[in-house]
Amino acid sequence: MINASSNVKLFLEISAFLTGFSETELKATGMLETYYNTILANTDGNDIDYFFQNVSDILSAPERTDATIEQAIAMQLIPDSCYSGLAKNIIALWYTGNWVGTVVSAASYIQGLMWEAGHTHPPGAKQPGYGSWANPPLSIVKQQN
Amino acid sequence: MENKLFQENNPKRQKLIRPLEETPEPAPAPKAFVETAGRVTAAPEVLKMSMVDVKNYIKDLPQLRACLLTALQLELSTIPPYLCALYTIKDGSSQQAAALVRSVAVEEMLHMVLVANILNAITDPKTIKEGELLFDVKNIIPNYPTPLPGNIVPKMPPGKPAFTVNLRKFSREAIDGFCTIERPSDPDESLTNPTAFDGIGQFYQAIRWGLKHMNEKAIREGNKNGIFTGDPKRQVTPEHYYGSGGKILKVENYEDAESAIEEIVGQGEGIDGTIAANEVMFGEGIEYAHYFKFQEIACGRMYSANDTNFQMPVKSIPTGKHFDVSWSSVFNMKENPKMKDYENNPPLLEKAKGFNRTYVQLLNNINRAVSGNPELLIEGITVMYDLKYKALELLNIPLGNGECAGPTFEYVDLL
Repeated sequence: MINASSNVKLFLEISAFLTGFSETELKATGMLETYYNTILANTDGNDIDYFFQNVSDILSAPERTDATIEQAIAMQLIPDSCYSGLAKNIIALWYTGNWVGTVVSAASYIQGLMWEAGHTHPPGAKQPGYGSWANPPLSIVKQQN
Repeated sequence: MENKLFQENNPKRQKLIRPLEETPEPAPAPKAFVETAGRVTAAPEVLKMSMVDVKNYIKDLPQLRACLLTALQLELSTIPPYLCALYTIKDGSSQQAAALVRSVAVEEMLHMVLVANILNAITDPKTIKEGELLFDVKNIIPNYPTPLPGNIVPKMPPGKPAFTVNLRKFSREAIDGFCTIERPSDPDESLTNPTAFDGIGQFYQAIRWGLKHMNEKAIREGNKNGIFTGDPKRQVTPEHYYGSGGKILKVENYEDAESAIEEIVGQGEGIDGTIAANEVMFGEGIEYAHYFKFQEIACGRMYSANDTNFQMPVKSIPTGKHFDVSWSSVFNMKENPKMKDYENNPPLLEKAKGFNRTYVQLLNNINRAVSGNPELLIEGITVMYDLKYKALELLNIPLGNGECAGPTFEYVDLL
């Protein structure tokens, strides 16, 4: 029996590999628990159990490196046939704040990683200030001393 | 009658400040002591910094400039604590309190710019080296917990440790601290510390006298403009500033400087005991000073039209409409966080540094703006927004002990 708190931890760890954002970055969105609950509520129980078992095996494999983990993810999690496409849905969830085309919450819309990845901001939220459009995004401008 | 909380550009607001009076002060003891320096007199039991000492605190122009730089640091040192309180309020809760804290934080930024305008107004452009900046960002950033700069030592209840400014989550403790920072000075209250100011208002009072005395002296010496020989191009003017919280005043002469200080002190403490004498009552078209905004949060009630502040020290309790303050729907931010707290978590440390780089970038921007490039201030607004988003990211990161990370507001070198 895998307990819930260790599953949240596995969810965070595998999400970092799936999204390319660090665990700290993912936590900083404040969406970890919401997203974990989202997948639990919308995924078949067997898929969830086997998915986390598989994730646990991948992340704790002996002599693992980032490369071996990524390869295992590509082989064992990413194909549509695996766990009803859960891994792909997780990526889309983090990037867009949507679960299979439906927005999870107002916060998830704002916290989507796609805004960060695109050096932009969610329209209607996290406004960058009047006139900011005249300058390159702060995230790509070298900070001057 | 409920009164409106935010009244921008209300000309009556400045009536809150008592004019400088050259007439003898009601507490002349220290004056006699000073004036009879040659005579051997027993020192008073407690030597207080009376209004007379405040009046003569600033002796020359370099000291006046130094005091204005300290004032700049003073304003800056209060902004991070207010921002921490504001950012730790969870979205959607304590909205009234958040709006009040936000309005104060924004006004402190305005005060910084007003102080810079005064300082630039009394700085002869010939004495400024090419590319020289008004202040030193690295050294102006305080290390929290910090005493108030400028030798301002607010009186604490007996048995309490000396006052420090802290980075804290939104809490009763934090609001208490803010009330202490903004507490109106009581002009007649005796001080236990002979060389310290009892509040921000008293410190600015010394600056007001310093400006007046130095300016009069310069005019007597034949300088037509007195000490106001600054380059007008170094002034930040209203078109360089938008948002909320009072107004930017261009400082070109003594009267302008007076108005700027009135704006600063009026917003901060508001009332120095004259409110009753002037028969000014709450709700009569006066924007609340910071102290009273914090009192409202502490009590969860607004001031109503009939509330007055008739006595010093301030005891005025708001009796207006209640509003909800949730002390629990708050990010449990670690008190006075430091980058070194995050050393065992490199990605978190990197995020904290990222926040601090943005903070330093913002201060550099303000520094350049007040050093002859006022148009840069508008660009800084993008950075101010970014600062908030970066702070919120840190607050979402749990530290594993029930607390969460937070912005540390420390100096870092930019990449």
